[in-house]
Amino acid sequence: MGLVRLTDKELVERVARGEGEAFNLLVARWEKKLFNYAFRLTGNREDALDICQDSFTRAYEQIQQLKDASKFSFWLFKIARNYSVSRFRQERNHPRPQVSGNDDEDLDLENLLAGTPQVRIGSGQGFQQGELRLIVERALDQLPFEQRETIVLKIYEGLKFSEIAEIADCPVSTVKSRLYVGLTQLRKILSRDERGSL
Amino acid sequence: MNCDESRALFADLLGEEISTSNAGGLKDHLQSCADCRRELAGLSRTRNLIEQGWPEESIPQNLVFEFTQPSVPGFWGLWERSGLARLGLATLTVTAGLILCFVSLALLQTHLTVGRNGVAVSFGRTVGLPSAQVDGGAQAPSSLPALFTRQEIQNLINQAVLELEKNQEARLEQASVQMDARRTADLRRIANELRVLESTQNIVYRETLSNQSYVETLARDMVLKMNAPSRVSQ
Repeated sequence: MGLVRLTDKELVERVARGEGEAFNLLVARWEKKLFNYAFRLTGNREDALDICQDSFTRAYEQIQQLKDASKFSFWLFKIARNYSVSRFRQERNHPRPQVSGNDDEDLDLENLLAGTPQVRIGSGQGFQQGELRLIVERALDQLPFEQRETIVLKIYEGLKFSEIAEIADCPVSTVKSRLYVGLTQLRKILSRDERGSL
Repeated sequence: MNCDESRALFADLLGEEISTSNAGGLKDHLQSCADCRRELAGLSRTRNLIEQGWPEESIPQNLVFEFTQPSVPGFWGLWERSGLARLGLATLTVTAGLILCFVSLALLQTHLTVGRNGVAVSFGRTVGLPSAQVDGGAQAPSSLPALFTRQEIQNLINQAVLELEKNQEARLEQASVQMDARRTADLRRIANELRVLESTQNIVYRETLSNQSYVETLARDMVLKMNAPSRVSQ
């Protein structure tokens, strides 16, 4: 049987037996998801790539400690989460200087995010995809880490509440509360103007 | 269902994990509550905007790991995984400690004696000394045949002390005699040396006198020789 058809559990068991090739298949299977998860948590590509690499390295080193091989992906996300939390705390204590590549674009986005009456974010129309991504990224930046993490895992990764609770190491009710509060905050941030369409 | 109960279900609805029964109750409430309807609509649009605003990206560079030393669990892997490693380590530690303890006791020549008065511990080599006679001459268990009373032992000790003192006096006397003899010999040697010195000084004195008279004679002859030619020339 080819390795590609094997499940995560079977691949993890093979890695535990010393088959490095199986681990590279796990990497290929999960690297994009993990990278996007870390990118949406940190908002920085380089950091996300570092977190991704460190997480896979740690996973390989400690794969013997994974008791339930079928939960490899949650375990991997949890490792990445711990690295992301460390980066988040570093960033909060030592914020890096903002590099603005295009002043005109930044100014325009500032106006957009300032909640001027002519801005109609609610429809999501009238913006280029790049502009919309920056708006969303800046809005997510203003959330506490736990709310941001919950929104990323639920909305982008499509995980169940129970799975998010396992990764975030908290009760399911807390996850639901973080999602509701986080979305409410985002709604306020994105509209600003209470008369906005959101 | 009131507004608080309704809002408590918003997360379930937005997370697409709401149960059928809760969905029915929420739907009923929303039909009659404009505030909740408006809030839910705003949250739903926010959710959609967030979801569409940041699509998934490709990873900038694919990760490939090289494995130079694959981890082979084998016997030791199973040993560690089953938690037996800690137990084995603890057993080894205890065994090593006991061995070290026994070796130390053997090196210290420790003797443990269990008697009526309890346990006694002694160190070092024990010598089978004869036990003192106690209880009016009751013979103590000993392999030596000689038995002495305390008085006899005391007498023996006194006798030994006296002999030692006598020996000491004799040695002192002998040493004193030897010292006197050495002193006398030294004095004689010094006297001889002094006599030799005196005779030497006498010889030197006589030689000095002889030299003096010889010099005087030579001087007189020279004076006479100097005066003699002048008379001839006249």
